Amino acid sequence: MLRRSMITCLGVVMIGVPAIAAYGSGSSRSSTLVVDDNFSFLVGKGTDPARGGVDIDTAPFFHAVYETLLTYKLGDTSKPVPNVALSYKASPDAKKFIFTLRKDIHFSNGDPLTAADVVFTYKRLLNLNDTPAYLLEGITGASAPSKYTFVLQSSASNPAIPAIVTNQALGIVDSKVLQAQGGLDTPDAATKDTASKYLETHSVGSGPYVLVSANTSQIVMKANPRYRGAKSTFTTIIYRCNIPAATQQINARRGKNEIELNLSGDQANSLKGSSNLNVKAFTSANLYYLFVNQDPNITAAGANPHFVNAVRYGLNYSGLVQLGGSGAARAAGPIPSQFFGALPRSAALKRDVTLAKRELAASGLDHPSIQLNYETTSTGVSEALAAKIKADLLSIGIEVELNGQPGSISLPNLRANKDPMSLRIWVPDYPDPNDYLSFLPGQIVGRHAGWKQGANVGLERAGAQASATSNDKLRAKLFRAIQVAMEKQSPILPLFNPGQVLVSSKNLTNVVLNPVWYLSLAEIGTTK
Amino acid sequence: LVVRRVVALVFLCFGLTLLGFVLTEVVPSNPAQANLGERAAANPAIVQAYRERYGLNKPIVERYERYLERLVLHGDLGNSELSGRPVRDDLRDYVPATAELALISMFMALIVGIPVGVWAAMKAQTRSDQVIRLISLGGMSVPPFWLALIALYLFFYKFNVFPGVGRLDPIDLPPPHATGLLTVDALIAGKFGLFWSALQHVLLPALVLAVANVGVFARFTRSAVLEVVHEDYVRTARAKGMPRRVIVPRHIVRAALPPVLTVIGLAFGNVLTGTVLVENIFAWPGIGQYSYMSTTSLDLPAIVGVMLFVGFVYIIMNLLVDVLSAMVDPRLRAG
Repeated sequence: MLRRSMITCLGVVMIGVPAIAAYGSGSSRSSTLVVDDNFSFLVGKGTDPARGGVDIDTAPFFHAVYETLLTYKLGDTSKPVPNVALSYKASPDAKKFIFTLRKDIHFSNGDPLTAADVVFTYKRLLNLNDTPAYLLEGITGASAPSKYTFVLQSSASNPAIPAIVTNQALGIVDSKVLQAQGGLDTPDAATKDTASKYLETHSVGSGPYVLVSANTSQIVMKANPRYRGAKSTFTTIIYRCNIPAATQQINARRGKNEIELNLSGDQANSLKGSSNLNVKAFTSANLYYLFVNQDPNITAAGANPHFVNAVRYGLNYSGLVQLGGSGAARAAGPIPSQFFGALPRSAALKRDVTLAKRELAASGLDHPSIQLNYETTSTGVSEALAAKIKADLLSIGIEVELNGQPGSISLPNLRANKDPMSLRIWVPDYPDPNDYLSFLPGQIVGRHAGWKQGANVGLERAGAQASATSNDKLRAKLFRAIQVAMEKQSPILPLFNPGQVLVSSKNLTNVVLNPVWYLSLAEIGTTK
Repeated sequence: LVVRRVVALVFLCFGLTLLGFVLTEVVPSNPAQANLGERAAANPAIVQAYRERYGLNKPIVERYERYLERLVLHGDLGNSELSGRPVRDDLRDYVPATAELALISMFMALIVGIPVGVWAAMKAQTRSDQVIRLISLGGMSVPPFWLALIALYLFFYKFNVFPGVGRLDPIDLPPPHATGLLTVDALIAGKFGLFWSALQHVLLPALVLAVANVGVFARFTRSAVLEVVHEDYVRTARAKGMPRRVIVPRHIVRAALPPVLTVIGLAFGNVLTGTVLVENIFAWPGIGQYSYMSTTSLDLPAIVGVMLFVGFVYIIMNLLVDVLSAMVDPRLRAG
């Protein structure tokens, strides 16, 4: 009796379970694209462009569903091109931008897109004062002098505005629908806007796709039949979240019309032989950098310019690049090569151990030591880099104490400008060299490094000049000159742009990394 | 007993909320700086709006008072700093996913672990007993995350027996929300295809989680049965000529159940609250993932919400175990 019942129970589990699993498996998904990402998607902020639009992980969704005034061509972020705006005109001082809109655009519900919708979108983002509001810092006016003309006014010169308006957080929303759902663009929007709830289940854009559903596992989009542009290859896109890299590795082998975003170089290499996969390594526009704090109250050694030079010449940059994954490349300056104003990689500073030792001797410091702060990561990349930096600097006589902490502890410390030495990553906010003015004295990264306003008047003046002209050729020249000077004078040392591997099914085309919206889902196609 | 446990639940909830607030205050951090990006964190207006939105500009005592007031009067757990939504809504999304996984996993572990444990006890010190003990020890010792990866590789990639990760096939849309358990909701909606899809997806992670508990249940059942198998009343029943099929379930298993129930209760609590790694590998959007996200971003309302949920689960499980134990063993009722 006992034996019989036990065998029955075991039988249920051992035979029944796989049988149930096998039954009916294998649904058709010929016109469905599946993208696996490892981010934690949170319904709420994750579907409202004015709240979560700058999050790089949800960027492909926003880019597919909402349209922006200007955009970029696939694989080219050097110059914005027309999109909702047919053209734009900047004032000579780069304080006023006039955009002329297309007249044939409709939202997915059929409402026409006019300048009033653009005004509402921009004012709502500003007044919500949620994370993406920084994009419109310094904007003093957004107005619609006519039905298809939109004007943006800035208090200071801002030639980066054409690049900024490509950001998916500024994706234009249907103001009529959103206002009916509690959306506000008034100064009290931060506390009274309730439209995010509606956006959890609906999209109000004019892009090539519309939101079907979003939950804690995935975002599902369907092609927008009212989209004015070219028809997309896939009728359905499923953007899955919380898929760890190890699982993506398995999914890649089994998947069809599938893209995996988070495989490490090693994991991707193990897939290179697969006949049904494309494994492409890209150089990301993100930047790993190291700084030595200049504030003597934080570290006495760091405030010594010879010590900073010893670090500058003591680092084994090529060794660090190797830890950055497939596609990683040495950064000559903070501005990544995808943006205009970047230095050629060949201009990057190289290791010079003799010079580093000479500088250390000149510093007068005897066996100096310094604490290196960094944010611990699940991938272990920062940890490996920190260990390499410690080894490099030890070889020239500098003792580095490693202090890796989770972001919740590490970031507040960084932003209180208290890191003696710090290893960090900069993710571009918009593809324009103006974003990298942050690395100058008195600016965001400069302040973190204790590099205060007035610390290098020449660089600061050049930065102010570069940020105040709308002549892109002149700006590019000025930014290159700034970076050349920073290479030898700055306590902030650009290390490398990390690699990013995209693994996709062999039949997929146009799977290209973009520094703003990560992937342009609507442009992904298939081989004939 | 029930009243005592309910009173304990109230005190426990109070203690957990207090602990959550105090611990988060003790940690040297700043949620606005930890959660905002570089430029946003450098913008005083955005930081100020963030602090006002989540009440961080108020003293901790005032925040705690307001939190308790909203919790008691409206059952409101506050808004998550990470999702920007009410924590109650977040929990409503994440808890059912874990509950579905835990229920099916426990069912699997029970229908295998208990009979195997009884069998091993009845065959104590024989070769079959030794093999079962070895296998159950192996099941308990294998790290679930490793087993999860191996299972996914073999049964999804290599043999295609199970579908991939997630709760449903990517092209399937979830059924209308009734319980949050997709298998149940699909049946309620009359969508049998969706039911199969949900069932197929939950089986592999449930099996992985069940493996360790099969070992635990088998070992505890074996040991509990061995303690009663030589009792006088069992010998008397045998002497009276009762058949084995009556003695084993009625006289042996029933008497051995109370300690096993305690272990089952604890195991169920563990599965409900501690499956973060397996959830991660199977991309299962459960409470483990939510607690990990909220902890790493210092999302206090979400952290306290999860703490309350975990405390609630353990209190309820203990209560259930006590009631069930009293039902199966009259001696406990008298006590």
